[in-house]
Amino acid sequence: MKTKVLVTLLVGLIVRLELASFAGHPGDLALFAFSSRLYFESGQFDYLFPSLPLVYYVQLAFYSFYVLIRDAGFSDPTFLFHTNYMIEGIFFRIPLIISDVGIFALILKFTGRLRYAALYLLNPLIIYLTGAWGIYDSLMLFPLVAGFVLYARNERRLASVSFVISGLFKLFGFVPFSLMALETLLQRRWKEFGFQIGSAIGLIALTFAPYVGNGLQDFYVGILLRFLGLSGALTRGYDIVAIFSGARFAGSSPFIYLGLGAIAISFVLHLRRSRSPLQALLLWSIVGAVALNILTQSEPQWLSWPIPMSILYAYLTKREGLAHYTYFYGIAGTFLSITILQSIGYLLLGTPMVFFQAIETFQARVAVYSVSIATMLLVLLGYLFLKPVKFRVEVIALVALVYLQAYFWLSIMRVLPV
Amino acid sequence: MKTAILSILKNFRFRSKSFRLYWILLLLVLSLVIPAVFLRGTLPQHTATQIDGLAEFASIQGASLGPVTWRESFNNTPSVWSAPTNPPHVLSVSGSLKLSVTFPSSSKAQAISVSRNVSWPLNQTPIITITARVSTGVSYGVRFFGVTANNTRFAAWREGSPLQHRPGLGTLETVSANLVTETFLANPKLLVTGARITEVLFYIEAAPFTSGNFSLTLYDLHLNPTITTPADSLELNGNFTGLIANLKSSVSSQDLFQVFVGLDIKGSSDLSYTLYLTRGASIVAQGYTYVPKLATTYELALMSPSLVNSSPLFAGNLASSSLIVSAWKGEISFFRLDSVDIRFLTTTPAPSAALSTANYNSLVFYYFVFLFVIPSSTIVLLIKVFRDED
Repeated sequence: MKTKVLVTLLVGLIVRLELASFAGHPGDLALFAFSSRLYFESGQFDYLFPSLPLVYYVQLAFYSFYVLIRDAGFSDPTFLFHTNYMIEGIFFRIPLIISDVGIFALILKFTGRLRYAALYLLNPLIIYLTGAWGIYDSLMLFPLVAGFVLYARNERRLASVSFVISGLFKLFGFVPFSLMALETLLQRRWKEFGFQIGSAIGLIALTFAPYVGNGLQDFYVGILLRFLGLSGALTRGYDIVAIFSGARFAGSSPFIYLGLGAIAISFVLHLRRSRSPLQALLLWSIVGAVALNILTQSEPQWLSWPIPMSILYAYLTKREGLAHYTYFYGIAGTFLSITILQSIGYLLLGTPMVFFQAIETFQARVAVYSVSIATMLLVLLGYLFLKPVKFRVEVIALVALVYLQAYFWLSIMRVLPV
Repeated sequence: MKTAILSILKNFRFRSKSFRLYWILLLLVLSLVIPAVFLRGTLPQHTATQIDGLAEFASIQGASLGPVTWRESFNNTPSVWSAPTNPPHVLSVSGSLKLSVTFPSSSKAQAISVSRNVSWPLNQTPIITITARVSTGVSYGVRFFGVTANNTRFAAWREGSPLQHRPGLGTLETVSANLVTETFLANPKLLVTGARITEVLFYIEAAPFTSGNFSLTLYDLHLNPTITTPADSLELNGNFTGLIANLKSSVSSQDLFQVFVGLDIKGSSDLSYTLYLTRGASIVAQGYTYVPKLATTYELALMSPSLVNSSPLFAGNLASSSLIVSAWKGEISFFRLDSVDIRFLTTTPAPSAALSTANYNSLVFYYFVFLFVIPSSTIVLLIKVFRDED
């Protein structure tokens, strides 16, 4: 068992480090490189960092070791058209890789089954996001998974702190936190509820302290309102609702408030019937992730959120088919994101470059993407709510068929003005 | 008191697993935080820089369209509009202009144009507005020609402009353009003082192997002058469709990464606007389209060179850089410029940038092996061959 764990871990690490050495999202890594370099070159703290502050703090901490080797005279090369240096790119991935390994260890410890942990660590979507893209969703997922594990051990206070930390990396962490707080409120455990809210406020205040008096207004308008769907910028969404309605929302779609309200009510109803609060919390957190992917702008990295939660839920409810499905979902999600949203050459060369015209540059491709992704998310909901079934090859055929049908009707027949 | 402390110390298990874990965690956090604090500002490179655009601020002015100075009447005078005899076509001018043409199947691209002489002085910074409908399957465009003060002829159009090779949509389209900007972009060294546009030409074109009946219909063609209202401070009140904040110097387009503009803006409920940063007549960065928010009148607008896909109606100072707010819909009633952060990011280009196509293909293969093949094979081995049991 130990050898198999080590081999799995080694494969997971090698593929990530290898991809990190030459691939990367030129847009996102340029943003991270700018903010880190600004801090270490001119000493300026970047109050306009394009994400939540905790991500910036973690990046600065790990980037400082890169600064040490640069200060020692190391000359870092660039690769093709990438906006960052090669070793610099690896340093941005180190906290993400540590998070992935942490999630692997947590799932392994929680389930005691290597296959569940490996289905996360070796999932192509997770490898793609951490190793190839360099986006920080794993940073959010690590404390999220830790929160569920702590909740299962009845360490409720630590679990709520863990969810808040997760939410401070990406706001999704506040979904299980809110559901947990709701549960505490319904149980009328006032002291516990006070601790949850108090610790959340404390951690948020601590994280935002450096912004006070300097960039809070910019943060409020540039980040917070954007995430809450109240921003002034009309940006593009990849979700099926936006694509087929043609609507452009300022940040998140207002539909999400309806979705999250429905999830909160369903969670309360489920909790009253269920003997396992953990199952209810996991289930409705996964539904929350699915709702965000269907109803709001649905960035491709958001597709990774249901994966570790679904694996934990699969173990708890003996739904092995669901755990196996998350692996196929990861492969298909990666394929669609690479071919349709970015072009194969983008992360590889640092500039958009098409290698296979037929699957990369066809008409209405974003609509085909959104239909395929929505189908996969609905199948995921099927695995969650219907009777436990094994993962069958027919599911792959079904998703492929939906992709081909969408391709035919939307791209070739052009039945929609998209 | 002493007994209480001793009791706590006695009960606290210094050698316990959890206590060691806290220490390890604390040491880990400190080892990450300390270098980040002490190495701040120590990198000798200057690859990421940020300059305060407000320090470069020169003047601000509101811009709006003046009353129509010229309008095509499309009264039945075909002699004003002319088209070449080939390919055969039908040109009718009555209330609107309709150019109908039949393109036969051909292995070469085909085109037909219709033009007229005009006399539009550029000194009032005229804005042209065109309302047209063009059949689907062909492309169209509009080109301008003019003369300088000393009668030297020039072409006031350029390839790559949004006015060229526009796909016909089969629906009514309204297109506006600033004739001074168009002239300057096509002729950066031309002196526009005293110059005028003397000819306007519309064309439709078909790609090779495109055949059938196509038409271009012009419903409206008119000119408005630009009226500007200067302000003494960074704040402006009134009714405007554009705002121009001129900078003292030109912002380098090389290594320009992002521009953040903090602004306070109020306007009509249907207001939607876009920000541009120009260098002369060229657009070096563009922002998203913004609408007013309910929560606050403050907006932090982001501009980036990668977002450039259109141009503003109003031109800034052609000798330096300008920040332009262009309203697509509605009017701006209040504007205040709060901050302008211009950011540059330099990364030394790679010597490997000139890889051959074969190398690119190998790289894609390598990428897919690490992304899909190795992880999937390991999973299959783990689940199907080396079954993992508890």
